[in-house]
Amino acid sequence: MQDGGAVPNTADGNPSASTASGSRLSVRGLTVQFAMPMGIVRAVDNVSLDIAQGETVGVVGESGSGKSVTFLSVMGMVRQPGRIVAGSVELDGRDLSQLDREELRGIRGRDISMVFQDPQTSLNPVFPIGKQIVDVFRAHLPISKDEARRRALEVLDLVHIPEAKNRFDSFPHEFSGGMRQRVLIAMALALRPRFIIADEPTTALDVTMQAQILELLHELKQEINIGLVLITHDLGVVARSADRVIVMYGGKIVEQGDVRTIFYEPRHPYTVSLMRSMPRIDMVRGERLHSIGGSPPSLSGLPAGCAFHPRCFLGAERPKCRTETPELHDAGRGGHRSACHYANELELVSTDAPKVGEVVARAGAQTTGEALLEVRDLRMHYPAASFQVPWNRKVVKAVDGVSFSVREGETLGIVGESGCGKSTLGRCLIRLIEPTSGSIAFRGSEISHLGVRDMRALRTDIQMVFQDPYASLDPRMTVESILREPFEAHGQADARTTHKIKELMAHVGLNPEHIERRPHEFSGGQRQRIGIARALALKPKLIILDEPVSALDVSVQAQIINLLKDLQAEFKLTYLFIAHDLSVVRHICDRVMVMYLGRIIEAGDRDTLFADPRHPYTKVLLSAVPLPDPDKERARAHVVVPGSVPSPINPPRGCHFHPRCPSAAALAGSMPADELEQLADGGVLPKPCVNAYPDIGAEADGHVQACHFVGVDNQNTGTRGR
Amino acid sequence: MLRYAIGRLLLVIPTIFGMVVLAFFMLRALPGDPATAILGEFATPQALERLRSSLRLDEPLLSQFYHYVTGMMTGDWGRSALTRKPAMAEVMSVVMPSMALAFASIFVAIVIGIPVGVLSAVKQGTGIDYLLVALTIIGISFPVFWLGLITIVVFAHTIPLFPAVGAGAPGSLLSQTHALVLPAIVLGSGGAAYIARLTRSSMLEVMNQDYILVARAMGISESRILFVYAMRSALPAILSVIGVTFAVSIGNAILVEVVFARPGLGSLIIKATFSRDYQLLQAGLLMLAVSVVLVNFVIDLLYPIIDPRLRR
Repeated sequence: MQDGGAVPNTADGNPSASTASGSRLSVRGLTVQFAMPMGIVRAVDNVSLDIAQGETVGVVGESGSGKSVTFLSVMGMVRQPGRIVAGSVELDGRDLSQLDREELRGIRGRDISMVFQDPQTSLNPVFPIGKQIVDVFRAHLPISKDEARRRALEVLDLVHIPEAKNRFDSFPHEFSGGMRQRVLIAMALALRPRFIIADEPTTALDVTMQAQILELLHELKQEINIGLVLITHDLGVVARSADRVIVMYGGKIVEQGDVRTIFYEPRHPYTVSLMRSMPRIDMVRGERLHSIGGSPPSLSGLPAGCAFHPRCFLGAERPKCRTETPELHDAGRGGHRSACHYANELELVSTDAPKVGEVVARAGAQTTGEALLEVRDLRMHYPAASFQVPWNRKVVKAVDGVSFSVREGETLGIVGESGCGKSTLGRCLIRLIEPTSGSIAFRGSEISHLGVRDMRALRTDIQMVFQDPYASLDPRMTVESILREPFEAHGQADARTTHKIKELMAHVGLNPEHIERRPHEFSGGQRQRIGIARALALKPKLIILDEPVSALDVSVQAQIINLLKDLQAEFKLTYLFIAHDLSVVRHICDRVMVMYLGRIIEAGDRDTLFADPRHPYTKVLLSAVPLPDPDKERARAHVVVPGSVPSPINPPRGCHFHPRCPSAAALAGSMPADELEQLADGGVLPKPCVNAYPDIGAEADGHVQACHFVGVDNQNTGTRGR
Repeated sequence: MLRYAIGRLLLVIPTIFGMVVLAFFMLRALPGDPATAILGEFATPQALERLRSSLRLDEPLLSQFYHYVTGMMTGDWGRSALTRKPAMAEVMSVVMPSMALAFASIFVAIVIGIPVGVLSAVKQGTGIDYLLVALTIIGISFPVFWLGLITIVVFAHTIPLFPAVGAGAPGSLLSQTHALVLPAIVLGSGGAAYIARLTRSSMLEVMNQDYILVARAMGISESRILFVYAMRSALPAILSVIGVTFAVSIGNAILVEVVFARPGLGSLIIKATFSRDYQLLQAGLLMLAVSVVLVNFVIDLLYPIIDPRLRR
């Protein structure tokens, strides 16, 4: 369908692929400015890049790096008050910035199309998905509705929407997040464009969904000769999928090169720092993460000279860094370019690539301490709708019979995909919501039935830090009043409170002189520090951290993780760390519990669990997280499970995981027929998986899991390498 | 969908019953004696007594209420105390011009309001936007009777395009429509302003949604994005304001009918109020209430047609 399609795709097993012929998308000297009330903000500054048909280019950077604006400009979709002030965008020599609106519209979707971050909001909720794809065809081709429908069904098949014909007239809300992203990819692919720009296409998805979508993109790139731009903050995604990498910072490209060069021989200190500050799922990088000081710069006040110099470990405030803006220059083989004055010095710096299996001894982890919190058979069942007839009540079993204990001084991680009940569990524990049944004992005394007053007293011992540092602080209050609240609420405010507040601020790394400032004057990371200070104010024993770093940029995330570790050592804190990011959990936690649909399916010591996962779901989760290491990531086997987490209103009977379980499916092949259960969809699975929920067993080493067949050899679990 | 419709319909019944109760007791709370109001100040005590007993005014309130409700169930709405004709027949004889006015004004409100709102949203931040927003403020804040008088002076007197008074010749649709133009525009202007403002804000909200960005990235034309993608999503919010606008219009229709000297429920209700004609008032008020409830019922049925997420 496309000319130049004969170029073989060499990405498989050889990340340093490039394509010589085919279409080419070139950006030259692109500069985009936004006229804001505080002045002109230069979001993209003199950016030049090339994308060839058939290659995948990863574009990496933190918030405000200009990566999204660059590619919106390529599409001619920067809106007021933004404006392209210089540069050109050329598609095979045709300057797109000179086209009129209608010509540009003809390019969009047909030659270059886009996939966005959030599949929940990217489809029009009031039209069936089929119609939305048909519209894309009809916007560009003079074809009949029937013809458009036929072609739409074709692309839906291409992205593996099961029973596309029957689901053609379904509405977006009838699909899961992963399925919606497939529909959006189908839309982007509809006219077989030469280039697809995917802006954080998997960021809003759970890891198992992310693995499915990455697999799909990879497969499509093989089938159809497209140039894929993968904008992401996740180095793991880049390592897995990209041929080339572009690193952006402060609106500029700071480094570019092929994926192996960027990962193994980076020549820009920002790239190096970014890689070092990422926690990894396959190893523990010592107690502290490398962290980049400060936060990503605001584009309205970029530092002079090299924008990265205030945070740079290499430049060390050398005068050249402060005064002279470095240009991209050759830094090695194969088009490797870096914008650092002292790039050569980086040859001597290790990227801190630790040896496989390296386990660093943890200091001060007291996993043998007394049980601080003991939870027995905790349940939280919500009614599924506000009005229900009494004979047909449906409940959402958000937390369904969970038992565990948290030992003094440890960090217990709770991980799972969205809908697994981890956040509900955290809220139940401090009774922000009232659990339906079960017992919670804090230091041996039952707290699940305490009255309002006693519970209030207990809140000085158990505190919580929330996910969103923007939403969890009142924008109208000063830092002082935010941090004074806990003291006042518990009648502890006195003449020394202001002094204590300043101490708290210093402890969490905030400047005590900023006590009169309001939340909007702080960056995201600083706001999360305020949230942590608020939790610390009354010297609690236990802090429940609900996704405390997931809204933060990688470099800031590392700072907050380090801070949490320091505070834990200093104040002898116990943490309950709720997160979906397994790499972060691996780094910070002593023990880990994995939840699926309201139940714990596996729990154990961090290193045991990550090195030797036993439950099939845990294996799937671990294998779905991409490693920020191209060679290792591409060599290892990936277990991609079908489907998404089912609704907790009507969880599958038996083991909740059985409909997606690769082990059960593999086992069924080797079992006699009388031990198998026939399923409604025609498949067969072992009887116990379908009929009985496996009890979570107890083992000597404290590593427990809930799978009927864990002892059985399930090596052959549909695992496939790439 | 059917279940949803039935559920909505079941809600209509208690709503109407609530109105019956309110209309009855609020009228009884009015000061003044209906019998004196009807027979005049010089009526003999015996005549007053007779009238009261024939109207059941001498019975306890709850007993009156009982007779009123049971009468209603059997189609007997009582008789107008003034004209001695059945109250419902009196109401029905003037209901058509009133409903024509109310629906014509809603039509005007929609036809003006939605395009103005869309234009204002598309031209956000420009002079056109500011001008239109200013006009909507005028539309909302000017009282209808004042607007009515001005239009009569301008379009019936200075430039005699339309009749100043009346509802047109009976039997002639053309003349009736001609007579409807000015009152409908006057009555519809406030609604148009409300609808325009709401259309503007909900269009602006929808245009910022990710799926509009996606549609643009796929090369869908701007006009299709605006009138199909965005409009459809903005419609539920606009519909809900149309329901409210109808209720407000029904109330204002009374004023407009007086200004344009149109026959209709408005003049009937005013007449009945001054003469403490309870039966007639009850029937008239109920007719207004039922029309508002029914219009909103229809709007409720439209929501799930527009937004599939509301379908069960």
